[in-house]
Amino acid sequence: MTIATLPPPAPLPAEPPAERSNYLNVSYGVVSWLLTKDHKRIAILYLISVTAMFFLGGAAISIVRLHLITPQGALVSADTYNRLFTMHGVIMVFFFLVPVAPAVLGNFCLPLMIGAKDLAFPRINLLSWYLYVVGGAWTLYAMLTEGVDTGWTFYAPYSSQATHYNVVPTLIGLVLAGFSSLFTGLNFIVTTHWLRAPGLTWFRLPIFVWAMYATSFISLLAVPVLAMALILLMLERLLHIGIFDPALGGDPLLFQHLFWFYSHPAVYIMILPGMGIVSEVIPCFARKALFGYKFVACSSLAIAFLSFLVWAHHMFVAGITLYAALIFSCLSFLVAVPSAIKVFNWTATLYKGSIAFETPMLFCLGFVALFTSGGLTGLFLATLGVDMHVHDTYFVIAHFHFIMVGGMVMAYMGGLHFWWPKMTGRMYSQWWSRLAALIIFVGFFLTFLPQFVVGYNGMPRRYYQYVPEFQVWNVLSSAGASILAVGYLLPLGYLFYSLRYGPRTGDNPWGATGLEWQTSSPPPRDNFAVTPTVYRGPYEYDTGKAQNEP
Amino acid sequence: MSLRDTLFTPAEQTALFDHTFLARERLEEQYASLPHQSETAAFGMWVFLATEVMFFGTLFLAVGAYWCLDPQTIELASLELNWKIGSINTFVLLASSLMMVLAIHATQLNQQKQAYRYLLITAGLGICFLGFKAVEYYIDYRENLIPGFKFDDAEWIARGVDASRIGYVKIFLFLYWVMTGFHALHVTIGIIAVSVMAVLTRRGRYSREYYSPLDVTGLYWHFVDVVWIFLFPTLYLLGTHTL
Amino acid sequence: MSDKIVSTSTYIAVLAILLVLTVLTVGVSFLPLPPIGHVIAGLTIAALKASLVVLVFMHAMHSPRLTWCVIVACIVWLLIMFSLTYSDYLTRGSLPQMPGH
Repeated sequence: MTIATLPPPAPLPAEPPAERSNYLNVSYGVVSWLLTKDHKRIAILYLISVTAMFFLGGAAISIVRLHLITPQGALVSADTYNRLFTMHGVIMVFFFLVPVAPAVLGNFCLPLMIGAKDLAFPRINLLSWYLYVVGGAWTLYAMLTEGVDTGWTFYAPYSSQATHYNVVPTLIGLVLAGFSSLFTGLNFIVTTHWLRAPGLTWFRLPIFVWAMYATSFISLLAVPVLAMALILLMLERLLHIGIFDPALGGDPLLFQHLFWFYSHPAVYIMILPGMGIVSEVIPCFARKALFGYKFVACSSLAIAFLSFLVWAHHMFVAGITLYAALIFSCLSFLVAVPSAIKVFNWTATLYKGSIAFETPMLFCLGFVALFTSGGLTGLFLATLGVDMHVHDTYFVIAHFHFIMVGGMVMAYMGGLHFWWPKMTGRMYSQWWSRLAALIIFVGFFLTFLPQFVVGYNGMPRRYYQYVPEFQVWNVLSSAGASILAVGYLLPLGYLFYSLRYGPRTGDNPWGATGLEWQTSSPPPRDNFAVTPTVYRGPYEYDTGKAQNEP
Repeated sequence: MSLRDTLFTPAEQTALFDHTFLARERLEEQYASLPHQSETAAFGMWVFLATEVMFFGTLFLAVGAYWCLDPQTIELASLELNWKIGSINTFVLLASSLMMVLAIHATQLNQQKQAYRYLLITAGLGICFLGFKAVEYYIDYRENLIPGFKFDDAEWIARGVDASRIGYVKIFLFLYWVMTGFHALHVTIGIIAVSVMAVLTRRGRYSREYYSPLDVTGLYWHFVDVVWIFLFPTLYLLGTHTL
Repeated sequence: MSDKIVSTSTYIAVLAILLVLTVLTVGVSFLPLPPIGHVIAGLTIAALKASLVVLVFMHAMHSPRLTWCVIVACIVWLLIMFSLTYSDYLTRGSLPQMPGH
C-alpha cells in the first residue's frame, strides 16, 4: 500500500452513529475511573498526570532559559536558579521520562498487542498509578513550597547535611514513584510471559513488546537500589549519621555508586520504549517488514544487560580509582553497540520502502537522526581523556537532551500520534500535527546544538552566570526553547480538539498489521470479543496480512 | 440482603463494582483457568522477590564497602552485637520456614485443619523472632549502641578504636539498625499475611485444587528467612574471630 | 506452584541440615582465618543454607525453568553490583586516583 491507497478517513455521517460499547463509555462516573481495573483507563489516567508533569517541568526550565539570556543572569537569584533546575530535572526524569512510555503507551498497548484481556495483575496496575500520583503530589509540594537546590542527583553530603531545603519530602515522593514504576515493570514481565495469545511465540512479538520487556527488566533490578540509596540519604539527613559524609567518616562516593547504579540503567528505561515505538512506526509507514527483527529484539535485551555495567562513567572525576575508571570506560563503549544495531536496522527498513510522511513517521525519523547524533556524543563522554574536560559542562547537558528530548520525547510524540486513533477513536488534524513536528524539530536544534558548542568551550552546567563570550549561543538556545515550547503546546490544542471534533476512525486507519489494530477503535472493555490466534509475525507488510489472519 | 444490596440498586452495583477493582471473581477474565492464574501469581511473587534481593543487597553492599575501607574497626563494632540472640533467632526463623512449608504440604493433601495449625505456629514463631529482637534491641540500647541517640565515644576509644575512626563504628551500627529494622518490618508484614492465611484456611478457602495465595505467602516468608541467613553472619559474626 | 508433593520427612531432614549449618556458621567464624578465608567460608555456608531453603522449601527444584531464570538473574545482578562497585573500593590506596582532585 502506498500513501495513495491508504484508506481515506471516514466522512462525517449525517447524524451521529450509535456508539458501540468501548472501554470509554462502558461505565460512567469518577468512581468507575478511579477504581478501574482496566489497563486502558489506567493508561489514560497516567496520560493526564504525566502530561501535567511535563508542562510543570517545562515551565521551570523556561524560566531558566529566560534567565540565561544575559551572562550576569539578572532574572532570578542564584539560589532560585538552583531550585529551578533541580525541579526541572526531578520532574522530567522521575515523573515524565521514566513513566511516560511504559505507563501510558505500554499500559494501553501491551495487552492488546499480545491478545490478552488485561495485564496479569490489574489491581497492582491501579496501585502503581496511585503511587505515582501520591509521589508526584508529595514531590510537587516540596518543589513548589520551598524547593530543593541539590540538582536531581542529590549528591551527598550537600543534600544530606549542608542544604536547608526540602530534601526529605522530595525523596519520599521519589521512592513512591520508584515503586510505581517497579510494579508496572513487574506487571509487564509477568504479562508477557504468561498471557500471550495462542500462536504468539516470542519471535512473533512486536518489537514494542520486547522493548517494554527489556525496560521492565531494568526497572525491576535497578529501582530497589535507588530506593535504598534515597532511604539511606533521608536517614542520614534526619539522624546526622555520616554514612555518606566525609566529615563524619563516611564515603560520599558510596552514595554516587548506589545512585548511579539505578540512574544509568534508568536512562535506558527512558529510551528503550522509544526505540520500541520507532520499531513499530517505521515498518508501518515504510510498508516494509522490520529489517533484522531478531537482531532488534535481542539488542533490546543486550541494552538492558549492558546498561547495568557502566554506571560509574558518571563518576570519572568524582574520585574513583583509575582502575575502576578504565573498566567502566571500556564497558561504556560496549553499550553503544546494540543501539547502533537498531539504528542500522531501522535505516535498512527504510531502504526501498514505500514511505508515507504521516505525523508519527515524521517524529520517528526525527528520533533516528537525533538519537544517533546524541548517542555518538556519548562515546566522547565515555572517553576518559575527553570526559576530563567536558564533564559537568553543557556538553553533557546537550548530549542527554539530544537523546532524551530529541530522542525519547519525539518517539513518545510519534507513539502518541500513532496510537491516538486507537485510544480515542478520533483522528487529529494532519496539517497541524505535521506543523507541530516540524516546529519541534527546528526548535530542538536551535535549543541544543549551541549547547554542544558552549559546553565544549567550557561553560559549566548548573551555574547561574557565564562568561560573556558564550552569550550568543545562549541566546540562540533560549530562542530555540521558546520555539520548542510552541511546538509542544500545539499538540495539546489539536489533540484535545480531535476528542470532540475529530473524524471518527475505523479500526485500522494506518493499515498496520499488529494485533492492537485488529480490534475496534477505541477497543471494547475486554479488548477482543474472541481471543485471537496468531499465525504470523508482526510486520508482514509485504503480504499485507495482520497477525491473526490465517 | 448483603450491605451491597441495601445500599445500591442492581444497576448501580454493576456500574460501581463490575468494572472496578472491587469485582470479586476468583478467576480473573484475563486467565484461561485457575491453574494458569496460580502459576502466574507464583511467578509474580518470584519476580517481586528478585526486587527485594536487590533492595537488601544494597545494604549488604554498603556494609561490605566499609569493611573494605577499615576491616579492624568494623569487626570491633560487630563484636558488640549480640550473636547469641542472633543465633537463637536464626533457629527460630528456620523452624518457622519448616512450619510454613508443612502448612502448604497439608493443604496439598486437603488437610485444612492441620494446615491451619501449622500456619498459626509459623506466625507464632515469627512473633517469637520479633520478641527476641525486641529484647536484643533493648540490650543494644542499654549498651549505648544507637548512634545518633545513645552512643558513647569514650567507650569505643577505650576498646581501642582511634578517635578518627569512630565514624566507621557509627556507620556500621547505623547499617545494623537499618538492615535489621527493614528485616523486622518484612517479618511483621509476613506475620500479618500468614495470620490472614491462617484465618482463610480455617474457613476452608484453600484446597488441593487452589491454594495460590498460600503458596505466594509461603514464598514471601521463606525469602524473609533467606535474607536473615545472610544477614546474621554479615552483621553479627564479623568480629568473632578475634575472640 | 508445583504438582509434585514432597514428603514431610524430606522437609524435616532439610531443617536438620540447616540447623547444623547454622552451628557451623557460628563455629567457623571463631576460627583464626585470614579475612578472605572468613568471607569465603561465611558466604559459602550461607549460600548452602539459602540454596536449601530456595530449592526445597520454596519448591524451586520442582518449579518451571522460568523460576530458575529469575533466581539466576538475582545472583548474576548481585554479582554485577558487588564486583563492579568493589573494583573501586578494593583498589583504593593502591592505585593513583583519577585526576581532578
